Amino acid sequence: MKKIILSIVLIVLLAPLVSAQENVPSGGQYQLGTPFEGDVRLGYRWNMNSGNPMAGEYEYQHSSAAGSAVIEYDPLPHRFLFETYVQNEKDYFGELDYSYKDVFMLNMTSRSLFHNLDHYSLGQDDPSTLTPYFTDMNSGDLYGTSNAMNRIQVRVKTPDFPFHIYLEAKNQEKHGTIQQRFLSSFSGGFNKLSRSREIDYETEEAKATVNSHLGPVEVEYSHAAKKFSDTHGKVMTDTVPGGSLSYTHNLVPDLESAVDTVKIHTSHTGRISASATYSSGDRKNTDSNAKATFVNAAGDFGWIPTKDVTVAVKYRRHSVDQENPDTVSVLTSLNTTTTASVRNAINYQKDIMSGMIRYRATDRLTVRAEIAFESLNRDVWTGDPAGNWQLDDKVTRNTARLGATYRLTNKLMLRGDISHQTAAVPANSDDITYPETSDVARGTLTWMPKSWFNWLLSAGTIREERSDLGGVFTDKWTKEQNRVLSAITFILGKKTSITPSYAFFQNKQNGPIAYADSTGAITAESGVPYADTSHVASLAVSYALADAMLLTVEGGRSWSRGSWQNSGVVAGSTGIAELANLKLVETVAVANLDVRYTKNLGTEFRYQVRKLDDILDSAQDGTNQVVLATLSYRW
Amino acid sequence: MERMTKWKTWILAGMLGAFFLAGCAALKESRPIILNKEYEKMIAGRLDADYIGTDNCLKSCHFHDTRRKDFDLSTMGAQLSRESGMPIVNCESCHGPGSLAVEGLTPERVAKDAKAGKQTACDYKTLVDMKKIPAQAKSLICLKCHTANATFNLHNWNVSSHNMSDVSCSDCHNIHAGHNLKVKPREMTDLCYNCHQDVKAAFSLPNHHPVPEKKIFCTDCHDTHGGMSTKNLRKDTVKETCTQCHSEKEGPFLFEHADIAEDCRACHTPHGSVNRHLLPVREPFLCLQCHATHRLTGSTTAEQKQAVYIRCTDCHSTIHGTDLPSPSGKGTFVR
Repeated sequence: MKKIILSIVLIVLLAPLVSAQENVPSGGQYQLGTPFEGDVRLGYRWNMNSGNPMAGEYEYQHSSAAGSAVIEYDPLPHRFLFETYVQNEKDYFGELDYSYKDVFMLNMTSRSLFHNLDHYSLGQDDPSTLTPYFTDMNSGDLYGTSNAMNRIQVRVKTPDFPFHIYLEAKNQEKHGTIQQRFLSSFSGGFNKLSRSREIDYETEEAKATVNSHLGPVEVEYSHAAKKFSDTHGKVMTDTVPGGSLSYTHNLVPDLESAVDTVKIHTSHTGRISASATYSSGDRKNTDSNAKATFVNAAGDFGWIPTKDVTVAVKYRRHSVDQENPDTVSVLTSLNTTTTASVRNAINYQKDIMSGMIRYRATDRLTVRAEIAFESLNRDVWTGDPAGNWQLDDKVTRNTARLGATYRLTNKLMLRGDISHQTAAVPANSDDITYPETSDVARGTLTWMPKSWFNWLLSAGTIREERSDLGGVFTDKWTKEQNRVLSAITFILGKKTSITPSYAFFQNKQNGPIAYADSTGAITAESGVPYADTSHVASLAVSYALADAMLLTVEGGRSWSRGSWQNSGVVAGSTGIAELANLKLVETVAVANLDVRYTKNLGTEFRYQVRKLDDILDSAQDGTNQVVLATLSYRW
Repeated sequence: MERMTKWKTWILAGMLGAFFLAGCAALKESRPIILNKEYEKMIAGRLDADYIGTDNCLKSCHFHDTRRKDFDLSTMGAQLSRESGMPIVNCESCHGPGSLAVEGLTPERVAKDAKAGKQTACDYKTLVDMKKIPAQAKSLICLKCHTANATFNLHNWNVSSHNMSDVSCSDCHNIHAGHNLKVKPREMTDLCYNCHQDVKAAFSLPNHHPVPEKKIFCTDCHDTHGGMSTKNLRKDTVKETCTQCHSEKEGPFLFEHADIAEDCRACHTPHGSVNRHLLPVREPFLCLQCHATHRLTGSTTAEQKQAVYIRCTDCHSTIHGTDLPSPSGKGTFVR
């Protein structure tokens, strides 16, 4: 009986959707034009590298054939799109889209990139240690990983009703060799080791979703599951230097997670919309049996009372409840098994409520205002025999934000935002993760006085401060971030555009750091300064040599500097410079020449270079060059 | 009794199935989806005009439109034809009734103009003025069909930062061209940079995710239509977004780094940095903001102070979390 009642309710709710169709003039006599379009390119890509391979950080440094294809074919009711870019076997992107009417949609993507990784020099970076023991067991190795991701998504819809089923599967593989740095033992100083490690990470994900209209609301349910494992060697085993005893370290555990999500949405009139999301899931570490359950929930309400006013209210809740085993057993470097206590993990609940209003005061002026309240509650487990977390158990933050966009004239537009945030933390807190005050100001000017000239000027600053710290960190800390950006575009005639730009980044901090001696006694030093700055200048030129010949050139250079130093250190000590200071110059340039010989036939030549110049450590210097030449055919 | 329950289930399924089949069939025959009154009020269109149909629009002045080829290949273009099998969407579904716009235009005049090499202009001012209506109203034109369940990523659009910042659907989607109206991934970056020039500048710093190299895309991390998390992130939390690719760091672990459990931005700045590993502040200063440095041998003040000049993660190499306790029995991420 319940089902019958439910079906009647459903029909009553759904009926207005059909009857709402008003009498309108007929359409649908239109005949389509060309249903096929294609562009295929084939060629060769040369890669040349000298010095540090990190100069070509995201380039697989081998030469190979390369190409691309974009094919679109729409013999209705079938629609087909294929797009691929292949640089080499480890660097490619491909996407296939197929639709049949509106009842079946298939999307497949396959992509991969190669990431060259650092090979750090351990060096004598603790100059005061009398007998440092640093060993790089594979000093000549190069490191990098291939990161591939494949995804398939299918959407099936009932032919004449908006009921959808979405199925999605994703697979991710990360293979390669990385540098594994680790501490091998604790006797006689910092005994650090470095060795190469093969990794073979695999992640599999699957998601199923159903949704439909249920009268004035839309309802969606989805279930997703994810699994991660290292299929090569999930743990490393080494012997103590100078000895024969082995121990395990750097375990990469298998992980699993699943989540169920329900979404409800309505925008029945267009003026009022509301949505709610409730997502509940769990994560599990199948090696250690650590478990976490989590809830993410959201509620949105939107209202457009007049065409010039928009109101939005949002609520967000994130909570995590983690459960760990009380103890863990592990093989030690003395070839014995020891049992260690595991302290309770941090559970937390974060609630955020925010309200926004946007008002279009005139055709030229729009203002925005937002307030937000955030409450964070943590279980920091005071009294846990395995140790406490030195975090505040309750933090509240309030934020107010104001913004405006003002078009002074048709050629000049200003946009600005300011925000102020305050946080309430417990007295004598030694948790420094939240600033007590945070102020943000940003402004952008866009000026287009002539059709051939426009200028963008943007600046922003963030100031944060935290005072009255308890525990080992005394005094206050301050943080300052400054940004300036300027870009000017000149359009010279119909053939040329030139865009010089400049950006400035500055990060400054000032705060206490603390030192612990071998007995555990702690002393603190106040007002230790840290700063880094970067200037980035670039120039982009686009020049149409002829109707069928386009040259684009873009180049940029960045100068980055950074330094920090505490008081009382021994000046000039080996190892200090590279960790205290940063001086780096990076140069990047790309030139591209696209030529069409006939309507169908063309070529593309591309040259790119990236040069790294580390002023403090020439071993980090390197240059990477790539040349790509392709022949293209278009339909 | 059991048999009765089965029959009821079949009856229910049959009723629902029949309703599904009948429900929207009309939309694919001759009825284009049109503006309803609520939207029309919102966009202040001309209510005294009549709907004339796509053929009349196209024959009157857009027949020779140079954009037709792109339009034909777009999803919207396909939906002008019954052959598509999709709900009919015609010009007036978005632009409003067109009778006033084509008043006085005859096929003969259009043909004569075409012969003379010129395109016949219609009185486009009588259509919905797309350039002047607010961005939210412009988006509503799309949202009347693209409900949150048909276009599943629109669930949070109405209160998203883009919608509240006067960004409309057509600012990113070329309505008259493109398969499924999607922005191609390799064109995505430049599209986002049009407004987010500061982010473009951050990506020009020496250490960055490979977005300028067009090997990952803005939409890998951000859902421009809004979401549950801040910054229009694709996933519900910052950590879920990062661990889409960095799965090995997701956990849970027996020993986790306090306070980074859900927000990787405590130690990483995702767009670009002067520091390796996208650290906002270099090691060891980053770690020393929260942790006291330690000294295993030596005890003079100078030695203690010099001991901070190490790369902390050389030893604390499992800094994102581990199941193995340190030799001291605590979770200090050294193994």
